[in-house]
Amino acid sequence: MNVLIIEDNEGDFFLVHEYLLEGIPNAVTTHVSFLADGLNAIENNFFDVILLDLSLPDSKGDNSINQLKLLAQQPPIIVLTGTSDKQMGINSLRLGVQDYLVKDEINGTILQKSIRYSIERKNSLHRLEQNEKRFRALIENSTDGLAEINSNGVITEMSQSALKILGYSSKVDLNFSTLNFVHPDDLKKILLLFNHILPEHNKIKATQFRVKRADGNYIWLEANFHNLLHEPAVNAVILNFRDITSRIQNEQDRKILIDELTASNTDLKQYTYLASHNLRAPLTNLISIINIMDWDVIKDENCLSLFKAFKESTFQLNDTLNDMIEVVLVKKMINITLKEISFEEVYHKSIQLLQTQVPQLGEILTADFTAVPLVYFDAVYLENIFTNLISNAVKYAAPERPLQIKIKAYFKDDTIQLECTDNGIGMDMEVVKDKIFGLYQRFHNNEDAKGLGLYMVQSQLNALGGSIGVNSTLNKGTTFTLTFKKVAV
Amino acid sequence: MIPLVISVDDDKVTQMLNQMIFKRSGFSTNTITCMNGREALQFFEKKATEADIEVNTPALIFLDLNMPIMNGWEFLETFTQQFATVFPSVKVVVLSSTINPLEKEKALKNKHVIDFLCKPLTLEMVAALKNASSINHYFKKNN
Repeated sequence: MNVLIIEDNEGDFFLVHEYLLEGIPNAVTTHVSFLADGLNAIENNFFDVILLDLSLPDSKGDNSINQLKLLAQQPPIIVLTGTSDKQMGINSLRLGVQDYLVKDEINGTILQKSIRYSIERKNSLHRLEQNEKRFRALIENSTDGLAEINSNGVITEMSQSALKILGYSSKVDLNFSTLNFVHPDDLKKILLLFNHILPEHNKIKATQFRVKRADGNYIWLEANFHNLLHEPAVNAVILNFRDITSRIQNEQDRKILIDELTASNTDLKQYTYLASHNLRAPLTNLISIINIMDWDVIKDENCLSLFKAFKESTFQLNDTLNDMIEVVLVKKMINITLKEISFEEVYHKSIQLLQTQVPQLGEILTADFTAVPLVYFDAVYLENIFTNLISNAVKYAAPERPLQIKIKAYFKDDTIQLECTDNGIGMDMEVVKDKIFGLYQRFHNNEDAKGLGLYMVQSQLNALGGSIGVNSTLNKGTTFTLTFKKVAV
Repeated sequence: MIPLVISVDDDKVTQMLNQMIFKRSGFSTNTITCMNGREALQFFEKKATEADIEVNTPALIFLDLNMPIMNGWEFLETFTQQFATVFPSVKVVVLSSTINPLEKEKALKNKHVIDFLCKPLTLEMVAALKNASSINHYFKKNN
């Protein structure tokens, strides 16, 4: 242990030194008689403790302590006084020395104890100071603003970041009453909140409100009010807050956009309904005219051809309109019955219908639903999906090889997958990838194709939370992968 | 043949075509036409005040659903409330271009409604309608 003794009285030094070695035998002592020498010694050496006499030739009392306090290295200081100037020793405690000893009362034990305590106390103090610095730095450098509010709603303290958020350069500018800077429309809310948390220790309430910045503009804050009035060290409601003006602005913009979209979507639905209905009324009349018309009385060939063309166009228009109405129905989810249904059952129902058109279907089609026998879906939709996928595969079979269609269902992650693979003519994925499930998209010069089937499959899947994907190679074949939700919704 | 039917539809061409079909299929002799539910209701209101309400009362109402002023549903509801007991023999056939099956279900719950037909009306549909139990007695003598 390194000890610096600053003492001009040789006799006193001798005694103190004796007691020191008695109490701390391994103590290494440096002795100086002038404060200037002491300061110099501290600059150049490390000391665990300083024993300081208060009446030195070049400095007296408080001045010595203050001089020592200016140094970078601050070892603990124990002041040595005579019986006559005991009061000076007591006063020195206020200046930050760790202890004072009256020279006549010193012995080895007392000195040793005082030194040990002083070192320990100094260390604790140092740790506290460091902690304090650290927390201060955290608070000052946080982007969140921090303020203390007393029980009367008056702001008593604000962090740098808080001042910055509110646009103040220093606390001097501030009128510290909460009421002055909360937006009038939000004042009632804040008062209510404050009264709500006041009676309850440790109560935290979060809210959003507007405050007036130094420049007079209002900003939105998101804030937590934390009642720490009962904590003696705090004795305040702690308010931490951040500026969320741009977020609120974004939310408001988005809300306006959603409202606009909802309105135009409602208009569109209404329009679709009116269009389909108002088109349908005259169209049914046209069909009716064709039905009741006595075709035999038309003798003129030209006229007959024209009427036949009229008939054909009318039915074409009717088909298109029916398709569109069906699309609208799927989108509006009308007539949906969601329940657990058997893949196998629905599959058989749809191939029964298809078999009337494609009698050899049994030979080209294999299906395996053993892994996943049941799915939570609408039976009519599922039947339509099977019909579409299978009839598509049949329609686009490769003429040079016998068609094979394989269907299987399996679990993947949290979903049910239904795969339909064929060895047909396939598609160029580069060409079709963005359009294949679009409305009225056709990729072959096939007269039957309307470009509606896959669109409907996708719409029906999407409407019930599923999806569809495709992979295909020209002249090799196509695989459609359908994803269904696994659990009941 | 049914001596008198009333056809409620806001579309004049439909009215004309319906009458043509009634005539050609030997379904009804005369047809009263109303452009909406309100007109049809007014007809029955007037009829109800007459001394002998059985005379010249249509046996069947062909009712469109989507009409201005008073639609088919509103007519059906008011007619059922006010005139069901006054004209117990009057039946309703809904003739609509709706594509919603729920509407058919809803319409057939009304005990006056004997059928729900989708437009356009055809000779075949009218022929089939003749067999409906509540009106087939009109056609037995002729056949």
